Amino acid sequence: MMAEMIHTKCYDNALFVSEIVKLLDEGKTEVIFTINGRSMRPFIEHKRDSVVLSKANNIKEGDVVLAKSIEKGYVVHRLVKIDRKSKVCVLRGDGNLDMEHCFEKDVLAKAVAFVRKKKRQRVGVDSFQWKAYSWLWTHLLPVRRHLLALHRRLIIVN
Amino acid sequence: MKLKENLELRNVCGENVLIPCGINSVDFNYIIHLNETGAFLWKEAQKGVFATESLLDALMEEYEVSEEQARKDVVDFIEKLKSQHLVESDK
Repeated sequence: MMAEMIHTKCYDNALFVSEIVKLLDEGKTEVIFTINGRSMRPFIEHKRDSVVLSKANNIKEGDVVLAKSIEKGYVVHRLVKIDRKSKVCVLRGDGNLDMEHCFEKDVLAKAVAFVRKKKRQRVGVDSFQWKAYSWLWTHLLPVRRHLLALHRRLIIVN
Repeated sequence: MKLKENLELRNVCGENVLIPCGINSVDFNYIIHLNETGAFLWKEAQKGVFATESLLDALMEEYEVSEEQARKDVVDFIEKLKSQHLVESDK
């Protein structure tokens, strides 16, 4: 009748996102979940780290957002550019070289913190650590390809 | 026994799940999945203080199951609640 009554599980992306948006609309200020995917490397590791999302108020360039992109569907990526006139946003995962686009209205939530590593250390987006990393990583875009390759090797060694 | 109060039974994506709800935050890393029977028993248990016998009665009234099967389900359910620290123990 019931093999396993209580267990944990993850969901289909689109449904999961609609649930997150609903919770934020209902007044929850934070929704936390584990990131699936490697596109926000090196700071956020696949299945290890979590993102803390809040409502997408006053989004600005440099924010990490949950958005429905035209090219890839739902992503949690960095907002690289907002064209206020056309209301089109450009997104790029920290661990990616290519970009996605979305309309401003499809930015559904914004990251306010990350929970990292086994220690479950919480890093707010206002922290020095996050700001320093963001500044450095964004400015290193011209050599990102090589840094990511190096990072992949280091991870295998570890 | 009594259920802890910081859990909300919700229908997420068509499935019954328990979400730990702080006042302001929801953490999906600690989500718990319930099947139909599990959700039914949860709702019963939520009515207040419960015991194996009270859940057993409710389950047998709602579903056509043998007492043996129902008892096994209820005992399983309570054990799992305990193992996940979801009940406040009697004192």
